[in-house]
Amino acid sequence: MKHLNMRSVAALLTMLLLSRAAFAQGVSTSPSEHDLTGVYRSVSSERVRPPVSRLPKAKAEEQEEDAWKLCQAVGPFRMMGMSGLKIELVPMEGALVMLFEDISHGNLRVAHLNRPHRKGVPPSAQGDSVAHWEGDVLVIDTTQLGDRSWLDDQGSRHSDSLHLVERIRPLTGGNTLEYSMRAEDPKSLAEPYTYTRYFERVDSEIQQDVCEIESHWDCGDVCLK
Amino acid sequence: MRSLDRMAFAFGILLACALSPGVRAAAGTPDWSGVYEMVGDLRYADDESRAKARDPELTRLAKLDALEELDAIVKAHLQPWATARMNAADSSADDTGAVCQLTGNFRYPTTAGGLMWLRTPSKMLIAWAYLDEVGVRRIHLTDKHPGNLLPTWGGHSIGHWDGTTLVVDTIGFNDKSWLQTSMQPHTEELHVVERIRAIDDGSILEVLTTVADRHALTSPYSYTRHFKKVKAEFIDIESQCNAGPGDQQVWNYMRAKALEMYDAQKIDASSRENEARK
Repeated sequence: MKHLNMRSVAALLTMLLLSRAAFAQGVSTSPSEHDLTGVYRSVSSERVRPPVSRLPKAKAEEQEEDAWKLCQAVGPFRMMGMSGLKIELVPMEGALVMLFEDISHGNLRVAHLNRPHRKGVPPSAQGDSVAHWEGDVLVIDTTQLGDRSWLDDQGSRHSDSLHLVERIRPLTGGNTLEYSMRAEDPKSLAEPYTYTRYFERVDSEIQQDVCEIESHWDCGDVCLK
Repeated sequence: MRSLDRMAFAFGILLACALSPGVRAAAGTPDWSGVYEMVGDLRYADDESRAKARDPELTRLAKLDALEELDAIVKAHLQPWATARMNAADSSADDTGAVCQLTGNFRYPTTAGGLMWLRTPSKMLIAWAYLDEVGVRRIHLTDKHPGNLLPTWGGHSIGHWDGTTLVVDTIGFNDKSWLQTSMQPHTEELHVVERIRAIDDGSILEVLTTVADRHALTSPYSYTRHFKKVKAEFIDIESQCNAGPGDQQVWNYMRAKALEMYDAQKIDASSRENEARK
């Protein structure tokens, strides 16, 4: 019996060490602990998000041409605020990839897990997104956004100081996502802009996002809210 | 009693494997998730990949990737009407990529740049660095295309494993993209089969592509591309369509055309609304 105990303890210790090491890998390098893999659509009953409260100077900088109408990237702030938004979340090693339907013109978002923002890179339409888990909430922090995109479809410009903090919390066993956005830009926003919306998991695919000049005009100004 | 010990040890191994993300993601098939750069175009690769790319074998592969060679191959396979269409194409106005439209699956992904390979339980996804020119490809792991496919720029792709080779079958293309830079046309009959496998101990993806189109080509043609796995992060490179007009003349043309069409649609929609009110 004594012989059995020693061997069994050794075997169980081996089991625990191996499984713990493997599980630790998942915690440190991938979002597998909170697997968000799936396609989600914003719930139809959601309220329209509040209008952007702009600084007077920012309002005066309105431009005439909508990047979306010209098949350009519209930036993550506007992408995430789209009415009827449909997204697909795909985890990969060290990152969470977000794919979009009808709004991104092929652009995706990559939120890099557990790393600081890159330094010395020029501003871009999608910016630099980093993420970490706070309990069951995925927090995405985005900076280094260029100033060419809009905050809404009315031409509200933002500056390259725009800073986005998004929080994604899985609810109801992962079938619902609570999504909150906080945008700060002291050069263009009168105050931090926040809203919360919900997504439900759907059994469908993201359709190919095709930006054809002709195809945009059918929905005109009502496509983006 | 020894069997009990062995069982406990084996259980430990199995549990460890089950909890390991890499092993779980593989699910019995190769897991190619990661970031890749085309061999011969390592502008965005890390130093290690650049150094490896200088070795003779990879240099040989890169030469096989020569754009001019592929362009000539496609030209040689065109039917007469397709050759005439190619010769009549305007190098600026008819170049979809130059006016911020998609270029389709054939031009950019065969000439340069990087990709990100993703997988979910039901499909593979390929995101290209110049996303607004190509878009995100989805390869559905199923054995049948849906019926009545609507033609699209990227078509519809299904894939299955032939051993360790992923065989991808794509149909359902529209006829708006060009096969290569000389603007060789294709039709909606276009049928593409790709055989993708990992070589060089998994550090390179080899993609053998065969293109058939009975209405535009005299016979199918094939070409091979190699993509080197890199440690670098995926970079969503912004083309002129995002970052601003690189060619002012083309940009002005595109913008004027787009806004003109937009205004026309708005006027038309407004007229319809007014008619409806009457």
